[in-house]
Amino acid sequence: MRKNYFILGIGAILLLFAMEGRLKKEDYKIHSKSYKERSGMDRNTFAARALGIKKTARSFLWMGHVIKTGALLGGDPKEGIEALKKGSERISYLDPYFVRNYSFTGGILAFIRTYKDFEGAFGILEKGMRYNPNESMLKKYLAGTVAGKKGNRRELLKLFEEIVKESRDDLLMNTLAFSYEKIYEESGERQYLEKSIYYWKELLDSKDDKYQKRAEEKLLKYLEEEK
Amino acid sequence: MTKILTMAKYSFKENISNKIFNGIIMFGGILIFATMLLDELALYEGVEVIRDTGLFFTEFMVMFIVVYLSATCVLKAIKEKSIYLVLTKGVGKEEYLTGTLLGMMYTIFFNVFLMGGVLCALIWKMGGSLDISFFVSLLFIGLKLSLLSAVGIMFSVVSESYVTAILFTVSTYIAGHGLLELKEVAQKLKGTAFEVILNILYTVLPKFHLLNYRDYLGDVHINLWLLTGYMAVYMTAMLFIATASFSKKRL
Repeated sequence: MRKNYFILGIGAILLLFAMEGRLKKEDYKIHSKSYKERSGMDRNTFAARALGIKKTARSFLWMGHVIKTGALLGGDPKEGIEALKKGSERISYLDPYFVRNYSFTGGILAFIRTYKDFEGAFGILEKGMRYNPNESMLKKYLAGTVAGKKGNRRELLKLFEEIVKESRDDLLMNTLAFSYEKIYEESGERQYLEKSIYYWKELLDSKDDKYQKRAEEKLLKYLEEEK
Repeated sequence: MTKILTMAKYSFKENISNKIFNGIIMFGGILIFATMLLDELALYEGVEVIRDTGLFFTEFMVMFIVVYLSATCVLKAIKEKSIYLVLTKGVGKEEYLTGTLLGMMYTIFFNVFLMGGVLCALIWKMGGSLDISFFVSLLFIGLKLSLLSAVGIMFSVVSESYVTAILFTVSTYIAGHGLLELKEVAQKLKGTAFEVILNILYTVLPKFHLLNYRDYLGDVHINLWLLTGYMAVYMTAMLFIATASFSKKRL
């Protein structure tokens, strides 16, 4: 072996050991951003973390979570709540900075009529806030949960409107459309009907067939009434 | 230097004319296109899901090629006797390995940016926006796999069969990603011989978890220059071990 290759090689190995201290600092930066709790850890999520595929695994878990949520609606509420919480924890274990996980799960737990698990929703949203303290959306969901628990409908609708202005949430839009429709039926004020129609129109391009179909039916009904 | 560059060019041409290579690249392209279907299932996070899974598939597919090509290159050249032709033309063993590694790096970056380009077009078509972190992720996938190719070449020289060379390279890739977990286990085994062994492994194995930019969580401000430097130094060290072993090898 040539002399210069030898010197270069030995130099590289020595440099590697010398770099160790600085690399540990970078290690710490990454470690400090990871999930600190044990909840959500199982054989699969741990393996995904150790293999360096946290975000990919989180994406697949998220898709599974969405599908499962849809499938559980209408079933046993207790079972549904447990499954939702567990799914959310598994996603958090892999990526605690995935905000949609908290807002989606928290929203379902708090605002679906058969669940109404405000405590569970509060716990999930609070965890989301711990990892994402600057996320204004989560604050609004949290405030919405409190308003929902107190039965403050006006405050709840105001918060929902603020949320859907910032980010799409078909569940909240559906609630808004239904609630304004109900208020219109009670008060007869046309502005509430217009608001309801606005949200039904927004739901026309929903990815959830259930909301899309409902929006079509409602809008068709209003059109016939207008005639 | 000219000999190294010629060797690199030859190695690159040989790599891209490989049938397995082309098959994997085509399959990778199809997989990336298939990620479009995930948009329907991902509710409001379609673009993010496509971005993350697309980057993963890019790395995964190119990793297959890298492991196969790098861990078998020297063994294959010896088996096919093509190495004698090169070495008798005044190319030293060091130059041969350096050129092969350089050629492998061309191949890696060519593929990563090819598949990354497809992914980029897909995200753009979906109406998503791409920030600088997407391109840094692609760059780091390239750097990480370049380091893996150096490890693969080293094992290709040290090992006596394809199977062991491939097995060692894949094991290093897996273990290199789990070093943080390895460190946690070592801390729990304080005072035992296992702690020493695990700490040695932590120091010696390539720190792939640091180069895994596509999987960083939150807003991490990492020293990218330090990591690039680390990768270059580690590759040099691997090349040195490979050359030292190769010079003693009887062909």
